Amino acid sequence: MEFFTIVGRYFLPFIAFFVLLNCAFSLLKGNKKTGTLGYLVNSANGDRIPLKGFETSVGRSNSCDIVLSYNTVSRFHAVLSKHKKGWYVADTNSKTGTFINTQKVDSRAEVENGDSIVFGNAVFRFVDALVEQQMPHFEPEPVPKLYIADEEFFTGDVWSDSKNSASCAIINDSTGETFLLDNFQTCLIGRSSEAQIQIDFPSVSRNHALLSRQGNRWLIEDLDSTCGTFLNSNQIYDVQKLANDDILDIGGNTLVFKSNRY
Amino acid sequence: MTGAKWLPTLILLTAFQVLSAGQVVISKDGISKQSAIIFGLYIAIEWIYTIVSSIVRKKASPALEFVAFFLTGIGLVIVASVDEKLLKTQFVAVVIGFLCYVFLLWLISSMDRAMAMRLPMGIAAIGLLIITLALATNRNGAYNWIYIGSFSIQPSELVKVAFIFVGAAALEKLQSTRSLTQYIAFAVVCIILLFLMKDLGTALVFFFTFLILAFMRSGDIRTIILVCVAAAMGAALVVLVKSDYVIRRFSTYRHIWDDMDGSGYQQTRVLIYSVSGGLFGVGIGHGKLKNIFAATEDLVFGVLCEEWGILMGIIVILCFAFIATHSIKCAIGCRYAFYTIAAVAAGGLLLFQASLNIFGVTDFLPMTGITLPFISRGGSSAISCWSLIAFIKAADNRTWLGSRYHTEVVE
Repeated sequence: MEFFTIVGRYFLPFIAFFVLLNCAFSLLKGNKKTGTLGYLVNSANGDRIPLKGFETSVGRSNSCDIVLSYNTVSRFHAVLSKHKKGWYVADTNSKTGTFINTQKVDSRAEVENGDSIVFGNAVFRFVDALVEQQMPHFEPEPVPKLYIADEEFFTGDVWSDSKNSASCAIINDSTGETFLLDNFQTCLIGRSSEAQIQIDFPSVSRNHALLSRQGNRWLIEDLDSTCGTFLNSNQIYDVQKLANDDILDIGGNTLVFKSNRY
Repeated sequence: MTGAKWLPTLILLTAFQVLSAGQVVISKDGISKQSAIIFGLYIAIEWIYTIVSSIVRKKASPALEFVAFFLTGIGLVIVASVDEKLLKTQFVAVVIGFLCYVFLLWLISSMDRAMAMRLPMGIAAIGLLIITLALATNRNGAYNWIYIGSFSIQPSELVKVAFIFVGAAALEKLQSTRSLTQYIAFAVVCIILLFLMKDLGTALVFFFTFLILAFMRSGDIRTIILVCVAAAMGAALVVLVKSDYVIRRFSTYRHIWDDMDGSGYQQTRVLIYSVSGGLFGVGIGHGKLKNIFAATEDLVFGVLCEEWGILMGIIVILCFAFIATHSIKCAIGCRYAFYTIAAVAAGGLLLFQASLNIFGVTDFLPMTGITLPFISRGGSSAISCWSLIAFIKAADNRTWLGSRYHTEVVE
């Protein structure tokens, strides 16, 4: 008995130490970094934002995983989450709403590879890394030729009247549609049927913004729209001049202004 | 630690348990059959679980459960060494706790299921506390025990699990403002009920858990509301301090040697006997501290140091530190915010509770009557500790690799 007690006294701490040592390595390991599970591609500038977690929060707050500094984006706007069945977007009571391909997300909706997701007026294209990986040669559909003239016409310094009569155009980046401005003095952008550039989108006001010609230049002005008009990511409050490659954000739709003169 | 890699550790753990249990099973009077069967069953559960787990969750590491089994095993041996009659009840409680762990891990494996359980959990928790308040009888100054026949349960221990569950579910990323407000209301009701029970220790543990949950939800105006509620709870604690029972404990604090046969009796004996145990202890069942009131509950760390030695005491402390560190390590890169919040809160709670107990009996802090997780005798405590482990386990991504609820990660 005595011997057994002595064995216990001296051996137990050592065995316990080795048990703990073996477990400690595993306990202190922590989680491996999750690989990139998907991307959000910013339609305005083509940035690919990697989704590195099973849950990614999107919002204006700094504590969100993806911070979007847009006035139309709520502090905690939405959460993208990966589940067994696929990806879901949940709207976390945002003010301006979340849309998947123009469909408003009520509480949670499934999102598939290539879908467009709109937070407020920030437009993104969703890319599922798994789908992309399974299709190694997958390439996004080429954007249709945006304007009728050849590239030289728009990028060259010298404008030749003989090549084409058009000098300015608005291209809807989401749909690829081109609208030539040369035959107009003013041009209304909005949801109403009277608008020359009609965008049937819930976050676009009926009379959203107005383009007007002043001499050789085109000007843009917001018509007190609900979601605002953004010129190169800055919200506009007064009349602004447009220059070649300027990006207009109209209720989540990206329009590119093209001009061969300025 | 996956696949067969866990085998040497499991063998070492079994050797530890056989050697320690042997000290109480084999005595001068012969072999205690009942104890031998109980310890045999305990080790069998350990092996069956590890084997089944390694088949079902191929990539999961059983290290966390090993630590829990290790600590629980020490607790069972101490109970058997002090009073063998209590071993059976404690073992049944441990088995129930273990089953709760398995059930909870299954429950939260699906996020949809976990979210659906939020409301029933919250209602059950508040209902349990109200029933306690209505039926409880005074025990050591607090009204936190319910007696059903010969059984006694401490519902506030079980509510800890619900508190973290509801908290993590309400604070995770998907939740709206409304559910957050509901959680704040839930937390306030829980704490008020605990105050009414005059359960200072548990109220402190809840307060600390609430702080962790509030911290996990940072970067938002609502965090300030959460912290304000936490502060209000702190203030309420001060009010509670005015009760005679608490004043007596606070007056003893740092003055245990002034009245070593009165109010400082327990702590002074813990210190004296712990030192007399030395590095390797006096031998299991050969100590003197076991004759003092609450030896297997509040003073269990003293018994451990006296009979098993200071070295074992340090190893036990390290176990709690590793559990807490593991919960934080897992929280980083965890799949869902629910798991992250629940794991950190559970790990923090276990560490905080262990600290309150160990510092309490050694007079670094006032004694609060909080149990030492896994080791102290107490069925409710065993159930709550094992359930909390499920939250930490869920945060470890290895647990879910290859399981049917969670897809593989694209590297």
